[in-house]
Amino acid sequence: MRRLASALSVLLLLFSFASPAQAAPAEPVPTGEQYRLTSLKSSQEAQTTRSKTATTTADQAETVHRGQYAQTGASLRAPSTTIEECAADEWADRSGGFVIDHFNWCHTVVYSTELEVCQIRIFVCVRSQEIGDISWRMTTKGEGWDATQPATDPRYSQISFTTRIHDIQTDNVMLDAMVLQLNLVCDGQNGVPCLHNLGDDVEPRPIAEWKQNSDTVFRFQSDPAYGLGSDRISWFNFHIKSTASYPAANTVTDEAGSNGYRCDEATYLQGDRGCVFDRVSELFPMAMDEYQNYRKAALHIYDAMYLPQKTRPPLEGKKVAGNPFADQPQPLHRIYEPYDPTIVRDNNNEAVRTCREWWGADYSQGGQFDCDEYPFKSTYQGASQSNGHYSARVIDGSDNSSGGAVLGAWYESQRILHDDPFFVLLGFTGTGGGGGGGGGGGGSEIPDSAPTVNAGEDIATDEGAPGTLRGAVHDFEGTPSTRWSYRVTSGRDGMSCTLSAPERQVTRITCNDEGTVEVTLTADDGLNAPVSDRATVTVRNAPPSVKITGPDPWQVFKAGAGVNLTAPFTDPGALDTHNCSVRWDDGEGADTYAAESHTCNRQHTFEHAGMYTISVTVTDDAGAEDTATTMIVVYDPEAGFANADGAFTSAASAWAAQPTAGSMSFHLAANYYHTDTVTGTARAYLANTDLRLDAGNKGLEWLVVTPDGKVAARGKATVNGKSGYGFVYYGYDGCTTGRPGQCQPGADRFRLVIWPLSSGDHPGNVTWYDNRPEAGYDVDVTEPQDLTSGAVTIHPTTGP
Amino acid sequence: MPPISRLQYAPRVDHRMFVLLDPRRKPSPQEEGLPEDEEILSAGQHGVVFRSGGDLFRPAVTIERWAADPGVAEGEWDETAEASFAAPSGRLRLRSIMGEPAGPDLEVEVEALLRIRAHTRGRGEAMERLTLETDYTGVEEWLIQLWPA
Repeated sequence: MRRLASALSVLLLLFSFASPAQAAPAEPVPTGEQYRLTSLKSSQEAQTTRSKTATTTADQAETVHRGQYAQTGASLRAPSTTIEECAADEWADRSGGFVIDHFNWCHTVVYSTELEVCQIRIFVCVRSQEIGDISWRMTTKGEGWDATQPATDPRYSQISFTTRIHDIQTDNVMLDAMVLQLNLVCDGQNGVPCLHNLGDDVEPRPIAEWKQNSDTVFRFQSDPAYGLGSDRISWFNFHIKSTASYPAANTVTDEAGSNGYRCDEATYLQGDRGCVFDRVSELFPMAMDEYQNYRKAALHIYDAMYLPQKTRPPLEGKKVAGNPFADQPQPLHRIYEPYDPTIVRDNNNEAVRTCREWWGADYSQGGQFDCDEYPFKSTYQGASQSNGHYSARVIDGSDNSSGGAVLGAWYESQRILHDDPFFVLLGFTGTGGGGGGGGGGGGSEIPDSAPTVNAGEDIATDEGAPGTLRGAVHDFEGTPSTRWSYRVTSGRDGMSCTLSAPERQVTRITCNDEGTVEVTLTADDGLNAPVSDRATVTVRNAPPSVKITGPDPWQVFKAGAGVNLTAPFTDPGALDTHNCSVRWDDGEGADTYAAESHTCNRQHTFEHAGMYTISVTVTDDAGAEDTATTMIVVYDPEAGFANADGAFTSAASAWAAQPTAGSMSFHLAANYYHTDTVTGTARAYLANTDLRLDAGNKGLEWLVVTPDGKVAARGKATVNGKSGYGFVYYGYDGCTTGRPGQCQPGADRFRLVIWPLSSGDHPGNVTWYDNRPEAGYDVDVTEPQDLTSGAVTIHPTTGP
Repeated sequence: MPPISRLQYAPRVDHRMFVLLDPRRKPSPQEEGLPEDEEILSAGQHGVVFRSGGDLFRPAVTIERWAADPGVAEGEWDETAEASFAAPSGRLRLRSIMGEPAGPDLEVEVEALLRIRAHTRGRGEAMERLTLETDYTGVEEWLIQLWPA
């Protein structure tokens, strides 16, 4: 009787608040994240590289590839690389990019993301649907600088970058509104400031604008006053930060292209100061063409590297440094003579001693001939430092002078500082170390040499995901044919791989299962025996991906009716087998079974009314798994009917559109009367506001009355007379007043959720009012609020 | 008429050469060409390469700046040669082919094409020391005159 009186008083109160003078409610506004961008996926994500455990060093293939940029003998400095070349260079598609030489750095990466709209929110969005995807390539070209070039500010050294956003592909024009911002982040080591001169405040641009204006230029400056040591060197790290955002949605970021540069004020180099990409061993190009004025010096180096038995002093197993194609390449390190004059003098004296010993004390013959030495006396690998692994030879003085002049000019123009590493790249003009023809002269003959092959670093990638094999082949006489092959060394029967371009030095391998694969790069010049090198590809297991396509979120079923779960999944591992595990959320244990045809389909019957969050987990035979969930509604006309009348204290945050605290009064009367159609009314009113909800007597859609005293009802309603709103009422009939056996511990509680139907048939995307916004929508986790007056009452079903 | 300035240097000779050039312009003259066997110098766009008789030593070099052609210097010189080049930055540096400066830069006329006359003696004696001695100073002498062309 007390409960009935209380309910009547609240009902009277509700109707007494009705007033035609109330203003129309404000338009619904997004309060949650309706849209969401998925994390940026990078083309540099799936693959990792590991040092090769063979006789070659890990970066030899990279050095060989670098040599393909050099124009041997044509120019001392590699030509400025274009951004198109950067985009096409698969060595640039690595996290740190690719340093071609001190003055050229390239980086390219393909990014992708998806735009999703949220369908179900239980605390957070638990089910979303992709409505579009977008991918783009970001290519960056870095250019070194020296003071022979114009300076933006003559007080500072500088370095510049051009970043291009291109190859934009999207399947939904909505993504033209996605905003992309680029920042080139620079960090000076040891506290040295990195001064942004250009590009610091790059305005974020929508994709539509990037399509029209694809390039951004960044420039950093360095104050030489901060430099350290005799050459006043400052070092800097940099990376490119990409930030993508969608209006009223989240922001996703990624960082790539991490590398570094240095600035110096070395007066022995061109322009007296400059900034270069220094994380590289440079290549000193020397051409062996007939007409080269230093040809005999170049042929001397060739003999020292490839025919050491022809050189003096004789030494068993002689291996000179500086050959990038040696089994174990050891770079030369420059000496700037004023910084270490003793070793330069000792190198020279040791070489002259050998020349005098083998060619006689008068080898110069009045200045006509000189004693040439390799490795150069201006390196730490020179004659006095190499334990006999050097060559001294008497050659024409003009060849020797020309070779020295070219080396000095190269040091100067490429900014080779004291102790910088470098290799010597022999070849023929314009061939980058290959092509041309052999020949002889100065006592040297160049036989047709077999190609040099390097299969690159060992890599690790996921099954189904391509891994990049970066091999390199070098041949003085031309370009030999090359071919990749593979052999599964560890894996299940049926494991196989595909090579995207097996005839290219850089190719991609994709395998259908986890395991280990040995890849072989073979080069054949048609004259010598084919030459091969191997690397190892470790293929990791990748998890399956499952989604529920049926039942739909918030789909309504009658208790006792069959519910068909449809859950297809994919797995990049073609040989993987899978188990499904379904939790129906009705108190029974997990339903576990073997998947068939890449689905976890199952039928289930719910005996009682409730809201059930169904989860399906698919697990592959290596233990990797993925889970998808959906929530359904099950009603039972015989489970009872509900009356709820009362009030609770509504926090200001509950009403996102017009934050107002106050007392929320509510009314619900709902009953199936043994039919499949619920009958009743629902009303609510926030005191002293225009929030006035009324479902009339035809607005209810369903009623859930659970065996343990929970109530949920959904319907459509007007708010202050304006149609187009959905609502869900949640009530707990507390055991303090409820029927024993069909009640919830504690007092009666209530939750009200209102949303605009324009955002969907159920709440989640946009919520207009919710007094428990952090709670889930399943009646079991809805966390209703204590009442300040009134009651939630569940009654046994009675006749119509 | 005295010279505008007269400075003395001892540049490092490496590979039997040393260089006078505009340090803020490229290409370096040693990239553009070297003196032939019978020549003592070779000019590029922005500098001059000098051919020494010896190697790995420091000859005595005097550079005089003049307002106009002073004529061939008095004294006994073994060889003389002339050339022209430009120094757009207004600076000239005497250095080794490996970049080692021999001393402070010279300031010269920016706009003008420069004319240079080099006189040398002692190259033969330096050549005789080629296989015998390094790291000495003098023996070979140079007098270099500069004036606006």
